Amino acid sequence: MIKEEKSTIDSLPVLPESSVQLLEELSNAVGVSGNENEIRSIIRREVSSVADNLTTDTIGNLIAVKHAKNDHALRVMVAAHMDEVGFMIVDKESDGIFKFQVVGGIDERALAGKAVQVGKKHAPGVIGACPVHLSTPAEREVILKTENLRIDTGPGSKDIEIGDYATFSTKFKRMGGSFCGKAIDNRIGVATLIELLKNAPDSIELIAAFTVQEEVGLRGAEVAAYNINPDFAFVIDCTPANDQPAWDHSENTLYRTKLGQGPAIYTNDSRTLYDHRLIRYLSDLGDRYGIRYQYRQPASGGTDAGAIHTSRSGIPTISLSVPGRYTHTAASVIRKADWEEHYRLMTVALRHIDADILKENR
Amino acid sequence: MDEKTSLKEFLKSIISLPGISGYETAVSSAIAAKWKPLTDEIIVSPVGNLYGIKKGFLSKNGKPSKRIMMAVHMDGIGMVIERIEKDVLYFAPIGGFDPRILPGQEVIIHSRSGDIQGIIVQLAPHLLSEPFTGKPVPLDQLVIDTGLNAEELKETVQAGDTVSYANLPFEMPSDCIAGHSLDNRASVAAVTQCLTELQRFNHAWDVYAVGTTQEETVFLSRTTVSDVKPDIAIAIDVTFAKGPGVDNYKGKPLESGPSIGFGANIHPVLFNQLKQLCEQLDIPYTLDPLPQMSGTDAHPIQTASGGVATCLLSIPLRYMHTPVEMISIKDVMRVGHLMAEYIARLDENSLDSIKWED
Repeated sequence: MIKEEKSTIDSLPVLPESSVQLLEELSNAVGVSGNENEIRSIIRREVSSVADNLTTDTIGNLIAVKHAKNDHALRVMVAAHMDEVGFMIVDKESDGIFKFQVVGGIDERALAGKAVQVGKKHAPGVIGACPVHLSTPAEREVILKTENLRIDTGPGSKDIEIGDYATFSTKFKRMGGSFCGKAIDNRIGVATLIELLKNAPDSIELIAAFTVQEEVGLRGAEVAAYNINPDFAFVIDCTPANDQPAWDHSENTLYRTKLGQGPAIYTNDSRTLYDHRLIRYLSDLGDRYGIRYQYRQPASGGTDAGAIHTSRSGIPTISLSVPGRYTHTAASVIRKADWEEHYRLMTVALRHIDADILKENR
Repeated sequence: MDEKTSLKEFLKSIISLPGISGYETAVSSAIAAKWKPLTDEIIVSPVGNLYGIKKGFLSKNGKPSKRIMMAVHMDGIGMVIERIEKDVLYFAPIGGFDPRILPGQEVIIHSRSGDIQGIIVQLAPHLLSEPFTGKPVPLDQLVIDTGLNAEELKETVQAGDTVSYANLPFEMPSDCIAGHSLDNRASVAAVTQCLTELQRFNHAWDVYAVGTTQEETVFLSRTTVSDVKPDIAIAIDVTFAKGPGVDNYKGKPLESGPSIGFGANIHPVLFNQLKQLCEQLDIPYTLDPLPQMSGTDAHPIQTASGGVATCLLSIPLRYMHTPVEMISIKDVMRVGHLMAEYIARLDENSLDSIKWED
């Protein structure tokens, strides 16, 4: 299936340090679902000189195309969602105190006591909590619900309107061999896709789809896939790793993915039974190049693939994700080594992709 | 830099330093450095209490000294590593807090091989003693993730290492500051403001600016009374500000000035003098009724070493004992100003006024 070519892992491009700086900028930027403007503008700055064509569609997806050298090349879509979970200001209660709701899936048990940034100007705010001195033990057994929490931007704060978006204000940081940030899901995919576009192989038409609204129902990807109508689609994202030790020291069999074990190939999730030809394609490449990979345990959850693979007549689609802990909270964690392996596997996947993969029946 | 900006910068710098209960050295050293040019002498007691002594003209002229003590606790709440399990750390609290604010918090572990960054997280339901669906995960099952793998973690962190919040302070509109440990570093800033203003006065009494330790745990401030032997003690702390989570009489509005405590822990004459001085100087203030113990250094100081005439000034603060506490620097300055004006008025005979009415 894979055409013979002498290649070792050493000849593969390595993620440059500038990618980490870009990930930092992307993770710190604010792009809650439906309001991805800041992310789009960073990506546009990064890819405008390398893309042959750069457009924003009606829903806000940013589509960057890199043409092949030859005609009739395969048209390969790689999708990474730009948006992140966050908050929207829904009501003003009093001077500087606002009611809010979550956008996307956030565990409300991780909201209280956090610093947030609100609106286009990133005005500082906090989600406070009742002082421990004034609550009873029984009250502390109950979740602090979003409807009872407030975003407090301080007395006299101005320029904050109902409808403004907010996120946690956690700053990106390096922790040993790991990165920590608020929106690594999925700025890691965005940073990877930018790098893939900069190093696109001549053999394919690469269509990089930076999608919107993944966190609220894969809505950007649905529009992008229809408009692009590619021969193949790859989705790159960040997937939960629940691989920590269990409280009772029993074996953790439901880890989904493990940090440090390389990028995770999806086999199935809530929305997609992945194309086994593409699963095989990625795992064969990993074996051949000595690139570490793992299979994500079949489970609920999903990626933009759910919308892409059912577009038009159906599009052969695969998801390859970087494992990440504590996604959809104020601070998620990934291992740099997993990201590097993810980039390598995606690089060889784009280099070798071939229509022959589809000769075998699904 | 004007006095307000300078005070803000100082306050932001001391809430960025570790100083959890029992481990106050880092913050205490920074406070000592700030107080040194404002006082005649700096002393650190064997248990870590910090004394900045500014002599008054009575003792300078060889007369019997009168002493007023301003006691502020320097310590804050934090955590301590309990055990290491593969690549996560379990921890225990130092001081009191609501575990529901912890998941997602950035922290620093003060290990013997240096500071290690981490975050407090709640694990997936299948990794807990029960799924805790729709319930908060209890503190003893929350963990810290440092991004280090199991081997690296074993090399660097030990049980007993302390843990501080890592989030940086930030300024908000209307001269508000948000961050962790504003309880009680805001009061440290108020005492600093008082010392700054006292440079402009020729005061009679000796002034003891006292940074106390372990208020959040065992109240080591009682030992300062034996060291200082004050005639009057003012404890300065924070109190609940009105806002989300606090809507009863205990909450004082932000920017409403000093809250003056009264109740069994407080000498009524001192309370009245402070209240009247606020009226006289047109300083906004609120009253802080304390039917039970105040939960501040005023409580141990009042009964230490044979008893001290004690009062309490408090700065309104939102979200107490969370990493996003919020105060107004205006209130901090008003408390400092009130104390400086009070001290400036103390004379040889002031103690005569401090007696019971009956």
